[in-house]
Amino acid sequence: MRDLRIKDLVDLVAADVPDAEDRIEKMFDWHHDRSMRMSQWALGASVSLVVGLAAVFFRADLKLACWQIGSVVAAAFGTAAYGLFRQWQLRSMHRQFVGALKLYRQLKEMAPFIARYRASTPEVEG
Amino acid sequence: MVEGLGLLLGSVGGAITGTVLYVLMREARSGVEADIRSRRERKKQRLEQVLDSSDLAVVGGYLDDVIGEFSVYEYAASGRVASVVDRYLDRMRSFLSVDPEIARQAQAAEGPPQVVGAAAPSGELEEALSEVRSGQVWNGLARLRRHIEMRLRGLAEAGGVAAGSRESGGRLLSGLLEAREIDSRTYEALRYVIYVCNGAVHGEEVGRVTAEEAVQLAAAALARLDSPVWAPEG
Repeated sequence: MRDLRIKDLVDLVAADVPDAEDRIEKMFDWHHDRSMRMSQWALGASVSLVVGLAAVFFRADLKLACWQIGSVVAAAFGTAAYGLFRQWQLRSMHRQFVGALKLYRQLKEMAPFIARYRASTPEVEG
Repeated sequence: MVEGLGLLLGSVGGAITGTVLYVLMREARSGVEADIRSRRERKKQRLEQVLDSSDLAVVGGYLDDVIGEFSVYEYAASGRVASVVDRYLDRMRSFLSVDPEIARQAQAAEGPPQVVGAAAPSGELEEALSEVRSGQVWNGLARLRRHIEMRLRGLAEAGGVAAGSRESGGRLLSGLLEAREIDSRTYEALRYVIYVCNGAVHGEEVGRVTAEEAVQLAAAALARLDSPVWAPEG
């Protein structure tokens, strides 16, 4: 969730969006589910590659060249690393969610000032 | 013999090159650190300037252009970013807060207090009045509040009244009344002015007429502070 800026939270406060905290929670839920699915998919794909390679390795009638084995192992490592990276990202997403809620509540206390400032400026670029 | 000399020369050359590289890297690192320190100092100074400003565009602009540009990811991941954002928000909330005691007393009073004298606004007050008249009520009243707080802080320091550098105008005023450094009529007048200013700075709608009256009242009350003839009551 690197694309959520504090300015977006200021915009939410300025627009006085109803149930903004629920919306923030839904947004993080969506990103969390997406990251979880991507992680599971990548780890599953990595295991499938390893299992496929092992099956071929133990069958006498199929022989793979070294570069083919190397490619499959590299692909398995690559997808596993990606899956683990997404898992690691999920850890920080909880901190981001708590941070976003804290910031939103602090900005909400400044809502009248933000509304007055926004009303005095013709257009604030997004 | 020649091989041994070559080995020795090579070792000395390697040691000199290593030392030079180490010194250069240390210099570069200290230069970068000094640059980072200087940038941090400039940012800190800018934050102070912003919070001392009585211009809505400057105070609000800092929120949009500097604080707003940080991502929530950066806020959660970097302690330095979190510290900058938290400091700004804490100071802003304190800057925009409405002193509840002042608000309660001012609301309990029946309308604006009687004018305690008459004085034409000059200097900062004249500028505040001019901003109010040109429709920049927020700027005018923020300037007025800052001016009053500076005057009260000066008075507190001169009278030996304990006052922190971030003490609100309301608290300064109460401290000065308790220490009998100001009389009750001046207190009431400035309390009302600070109440009006706090409301405007917080973002509430304050009419131009009310704002002009507040500036006039402040001018009269502050002139009374300068006058040597008043004596504490009671």
